[in-house]
Amino acid sequence: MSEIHDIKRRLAAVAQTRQITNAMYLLSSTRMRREAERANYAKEYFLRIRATVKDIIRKSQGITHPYIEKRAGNRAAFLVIAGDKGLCGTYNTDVLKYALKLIEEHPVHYIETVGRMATEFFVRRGIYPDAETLGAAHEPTLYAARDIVGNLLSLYENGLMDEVYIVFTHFDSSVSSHPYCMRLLPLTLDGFEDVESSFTPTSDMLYAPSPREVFDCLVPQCAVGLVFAALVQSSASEHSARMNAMQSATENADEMSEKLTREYQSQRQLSITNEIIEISSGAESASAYGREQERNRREDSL
Amino acid sequence: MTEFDLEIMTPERHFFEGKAEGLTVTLPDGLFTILGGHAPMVAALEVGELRYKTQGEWHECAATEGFLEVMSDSHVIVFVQACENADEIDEIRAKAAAERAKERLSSSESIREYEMTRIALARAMNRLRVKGRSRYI
Repeated sequence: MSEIHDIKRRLAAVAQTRQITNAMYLLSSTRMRREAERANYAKEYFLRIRATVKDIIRKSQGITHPYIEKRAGNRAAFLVIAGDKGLCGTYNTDVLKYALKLIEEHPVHYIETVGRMATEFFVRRGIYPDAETLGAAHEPTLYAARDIVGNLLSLYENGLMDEVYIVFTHFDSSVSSHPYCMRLLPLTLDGFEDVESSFTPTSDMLYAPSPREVFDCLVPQCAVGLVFAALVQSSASEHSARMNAMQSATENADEMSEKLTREYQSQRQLSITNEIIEISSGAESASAYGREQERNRREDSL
Repeated sequence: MTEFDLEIMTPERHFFEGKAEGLTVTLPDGLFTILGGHAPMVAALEVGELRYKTQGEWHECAATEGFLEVMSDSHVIVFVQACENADEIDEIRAKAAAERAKERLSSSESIREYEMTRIALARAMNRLRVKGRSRYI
């Protein structure tokens, strides 16, 4: 009897969990639908700006500028972008483990995080992030991107760091995404190997007003665009990861409640059968007793 | 007039893509106009006006900092942080932003803060200027 009760209680719990996961699925799929266009544009923008900058750098090989020259050191600043919330499959752990591996390769590092999960991940491992930007994981804004870039650029300019990297989740489509790392500073050709650009060699490139001023302006501008595109792609990847995770959680809940219902029915049937057996055997013995009584009465009357 | 392919991209949207006959942008040392068949060039852009001519008509918009590249095959690509047509500019918001920036400018505590405020003020004033001029056209 108690077993049937347990199953009933578990069924109710599964139904409740299913309601929650299904609601979260619906929520993230609506957000995903709304953001899909933005995310696809961010992906294209990311690619185009990198292709253009690659083209410019390739044509500017003779020019010297601190932003486009490698430094000897290995000190690196990292911008790590993850989500504010969990319950989104492996989205957070994928990008954070990837980032951790890269960070461990640089003994001297500066870490700036976006998203609460990123901060908590590093703190749990005894690495305290040096800066944190709040709210940018949930709602990417140009303002946040400018702020982040301003901070990272000043580290590089003041000679405190030799390289600046961003680690984020690249949005491929609404069903797939992958962790991605790119060097923001210095911008050198080896950081652009995965980008195609139509290269036509030209001997005389014009710089308006001057090469120095062009790179002074171009590199920070490009960085702001890239960071913003990275924020948008990460947030879209988070939504799509949550959507997929919640969808499979809902499916699992359905499967589980089906199994439990079947078990419940068979238990119920078993108990009914037992009861019937009890009743019928009781009735049997009762009627046997009745027949004996009858016979005794008849014998008495004889 | 020779036409060229013009693209204007901001992080938030593809502002313009198509054939153009001319493009005027604001460089640190003044306005600069690019026509078809221009030599390969990279330019740094300041906050200021951006005008482009398509089908014989000039369009004026308010652009922020950015850069452009003239590629060798007469293709011009402009990357700016924001670009707006006059009718998209929210005058009240721009005015409020200008007021805020003016107040902050005198109380800035660091060079970086001063610089950011200065650019914010330039953006707001530029929007107001483009919006104001569109009334007389």
